[in-house]
Amino acid sequence: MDSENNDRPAEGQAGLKQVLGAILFAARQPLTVNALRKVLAETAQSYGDITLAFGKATESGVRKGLEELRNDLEAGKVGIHLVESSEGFRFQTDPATGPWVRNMLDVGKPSRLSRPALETLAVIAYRQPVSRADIEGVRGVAVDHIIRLLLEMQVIKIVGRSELPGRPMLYGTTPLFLEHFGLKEIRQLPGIEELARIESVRQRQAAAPAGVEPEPPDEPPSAAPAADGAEPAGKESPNES
Amino acid sequence: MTAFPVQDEYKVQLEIFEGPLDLLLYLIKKNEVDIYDIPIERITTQYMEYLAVMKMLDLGIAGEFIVMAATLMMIKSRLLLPVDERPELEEEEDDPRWELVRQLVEYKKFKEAASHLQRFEFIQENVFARGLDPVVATEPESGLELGDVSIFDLISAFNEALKRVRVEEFGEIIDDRFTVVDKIESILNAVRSSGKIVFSSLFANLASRHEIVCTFLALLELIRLRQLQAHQDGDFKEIVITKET
Repeated sequence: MDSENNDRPAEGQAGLKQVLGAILFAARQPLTVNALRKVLAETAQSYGDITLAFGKATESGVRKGLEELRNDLEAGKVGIHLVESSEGFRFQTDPATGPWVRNMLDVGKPSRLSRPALETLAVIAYRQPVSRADIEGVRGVAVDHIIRLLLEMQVIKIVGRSELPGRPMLYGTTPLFLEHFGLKEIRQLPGIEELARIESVRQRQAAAPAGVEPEPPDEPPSAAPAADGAEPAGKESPNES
Repeated sequence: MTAFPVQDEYKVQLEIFEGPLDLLLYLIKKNEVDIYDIPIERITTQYMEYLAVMKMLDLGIAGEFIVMAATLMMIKSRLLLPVDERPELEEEEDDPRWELVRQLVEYKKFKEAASHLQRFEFIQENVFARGLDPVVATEPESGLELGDVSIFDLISAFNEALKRVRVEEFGEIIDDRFTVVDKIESILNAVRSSGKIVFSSLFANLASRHEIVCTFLALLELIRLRQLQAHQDGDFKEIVITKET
């Protein structure tokens, strides 16, 4: 599959896909599309000659080249994937090869978060920025110890202070959080929209005068009363079993 | 359940990071009841039973567990009153269970979200890239790292073992024959020789409550120290103890 964009490379000459692959392979850190374009433009300017062909590569052109590279690697099953992380494109190993690479690098056992820590982190990730009281409201138990652990691990950080009395600290996730879970961005979290919807209801509630119940987070069956202000009076209470 | 003189020389201090909502969701699942129509009577009774066991084991129980116990009691008593005699709390609160249900449903969503994160974590821990330090293995929280078994599964199994000997309790004479330290030794030996043991077999031949308590605390301690792991084939199945891999 040769690159269609820009000039088709002559015999024995590198195509855009090859150039991008080589740059990313040699790079020490992930590179964004713009960083790659910058390399292409600067090379064309200083080196000229054959490099002029890619000097004006567009964003979509570069993305297309990367896409071809990615597909080639997948098709070839070479144990390496091209992945767009939060910091840019990079090569990384196929998770199926984990045990061998782990052994070669001699990095020992992976560190895994406990269930309570994962739950706390989930609340922070989905609800950020969020205060300790908010998290405890969801989990129903004190979380200071776990927050300290997550701060130490640098998967969360203090992102500001709330305007509420006492000005409690607000927590949010870090780039390392995305890295730890292999995410490119927070929006990739499954069900983020639904849980964000609850959030917006909560904010409305916080703004509204006290005594206004939030909407039920899920569609309750008829047995459960809808805690809505518009609820018609005299609704039957579910029977105690 | 009476307070129990657990040995002095080896004080096991286990912190539980699970809260009352975890216990309630566990009980709801175990009883296979509808979260929107919780049989308060039954769930409250079981909740109090688990709480008593946790107190007996001297697990670091958060005050929230006690608050929840009070809440459950209050809901239970309000449900006993005829509808029109219930004290007015908030105008649209028809069912005293509703606030609790709302909280449970919301928390359950985050538990599911945490499961997604865990799945991602398991994949990502096997991914390596240039210029990327493998995730630093920090010392995790000192709480129990239980993997696929919840603390309540263990407490539940422990409670079963305890119930079996309750009738013979009157014959208790010498308490200090068993210590957690001894039990740590014997559990480790048992796991070493056979590779794995079934949880219930640990308690099969134990005659006194004291011995059961010591054995259970020893087991929790070994899990906390990452010597052993607890596994379960499925919800509420037999718990198997293996060496930490």
